Amino acid sequence: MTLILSFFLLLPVIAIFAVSFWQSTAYSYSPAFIFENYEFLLSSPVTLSVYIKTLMFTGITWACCLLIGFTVAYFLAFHVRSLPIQIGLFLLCTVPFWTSNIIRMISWIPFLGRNGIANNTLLELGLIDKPLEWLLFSDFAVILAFVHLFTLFMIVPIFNSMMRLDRSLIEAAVDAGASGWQVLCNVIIPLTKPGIMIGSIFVITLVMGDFITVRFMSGGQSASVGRVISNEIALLQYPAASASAVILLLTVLIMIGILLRFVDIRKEL
Amino acid sequence: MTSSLTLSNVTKRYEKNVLAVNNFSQEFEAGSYVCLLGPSGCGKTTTLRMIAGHESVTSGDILIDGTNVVGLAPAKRGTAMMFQNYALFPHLSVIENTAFSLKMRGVGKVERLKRAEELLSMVDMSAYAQRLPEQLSGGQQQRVALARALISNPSVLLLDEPLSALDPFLRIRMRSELSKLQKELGIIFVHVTHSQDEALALADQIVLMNNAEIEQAGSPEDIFNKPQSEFVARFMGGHNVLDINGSRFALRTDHTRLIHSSEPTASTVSFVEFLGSRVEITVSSNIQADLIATLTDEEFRQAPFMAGDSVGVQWSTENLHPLN
Repeated sequence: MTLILSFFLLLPVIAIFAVSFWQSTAYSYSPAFIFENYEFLLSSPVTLSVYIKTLMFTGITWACCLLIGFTVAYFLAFHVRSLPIQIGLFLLCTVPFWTSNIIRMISWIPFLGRNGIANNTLLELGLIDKPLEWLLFSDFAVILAFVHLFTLFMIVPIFNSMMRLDRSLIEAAVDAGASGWQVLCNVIIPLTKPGIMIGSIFVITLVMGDFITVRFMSGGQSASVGRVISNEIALLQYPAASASAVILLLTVLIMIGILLRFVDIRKEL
Repeated sequence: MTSSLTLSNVTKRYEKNVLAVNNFSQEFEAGSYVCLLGPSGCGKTTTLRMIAGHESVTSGDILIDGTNVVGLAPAKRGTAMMFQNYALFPHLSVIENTAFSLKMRGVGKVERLKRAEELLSMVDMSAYAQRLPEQLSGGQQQRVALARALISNPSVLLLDEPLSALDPFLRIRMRSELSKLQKELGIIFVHVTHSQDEALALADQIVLMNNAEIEQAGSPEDIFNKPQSEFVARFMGGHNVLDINGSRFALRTDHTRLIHSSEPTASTVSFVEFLGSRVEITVSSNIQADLIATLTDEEFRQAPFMAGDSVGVQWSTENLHPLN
């Protein structure tokens, strides 16, 4: 286990960390120990705007995934009474995962395009008089795809937490006079917090590190930290890409660190 | 404050026509300790949950202080329930658990914590106010659950097998505390249990249920000494059921006498069990079902019996109690 982890995780991270101090020109790079990559990265205004954009994607996607994921998990756990139906519906949620990410992303394109199903339907219903331009190749499309791709990662841990919740606690709350809303706020949400946190970590790390969704769905018009790194790699600027990756890694680790302060996840595993 | 509880023709029928409680009619006096007793699956817990409002009633009425509460929300009935596993909120401290129902009613923080403090001191748990439930022992959790149920000043307290999760020693201690508390508060306690000892020790009124119906209701003395059916006699224990000329009779095991016989008889001692102050002797015979005779240890010492002894069984007819 240790061996596998160190070979596939620790070693690459160390390599990236080392390369981030190398020096490079437009045509070559060579081992060195310079801070130029970091200096350039941290002083560039582009970095800041890209990070703001990525955090915005992350924040909105996280909020949407949480809302949808919690609602779906709640429905599955508390409103579906019979176990076979529960399992069946749960498997239904995973059906989209039988196809690859990229195919699911691309399938949005004919739907959202200028002459796509969404625009045509809205036109025919007379709700709009010219096609909506912001449906595809926009931040909206990026977030839509993210939510579509990652909501399941929110549903599963929250559902798991809810299924472990002792039903007599809900009854005890009702016995004490709690309304449906009060039960939700005072009993269900606090006790499913670990599930919410695990789901949040999944969604946040996936969105922070993504580059392909942003490229496809924004039509190349939006940037994210992942895309910056991928572009630098495409230009063979490995030291700069490594430095960006190290900073991204630190950012995500700090975010997870903050999340873990709110809840003891070990209890849940 | 005295309040009464009346159930009339209460019936619970689940899907597929499964009858859980059939025609339960019983009046409980104000300030009485009631035990719903019976084997598992007899409908006693369902009855309790219907009184609490956690289970709908198929037909019949439940009256608390003369008001029909069928269809009312649990918190609007003047009942409070203590759950079998206590159902304490694991994320809330002892004092917050206790104050929960006041919080739900929008009572201010200072006031509700003060009231919770009072309840906790009543059950002797003030020292643990800031702990989480998982840091408490079973007995302590039960006290907290009791305080939480009582904070809303219920007129009827419903207890679902409250002692079954405790070890035997603690069970007897909590038993006497429950009884003491009920006398102090003067409200109706409805206590579900499958243990006849518990019911006999605690109850003013026992309702013994079997197969969704009331088998017999009455004072502990009545239920124990005047069982109406073979089921009651066997469930309460301490009785032999005799078949004499086609009629069935209950005979208390401590009224069953054994005599030594020098000649082989139809009855032989098959088993002797020493229980401290008493000795239970099981007698097998080929004309009756197995009988048990309970002797005091004093009696046993004077005339000991051993497995394999041939014995005669005696009783006086005034101790025979006819069964339906």
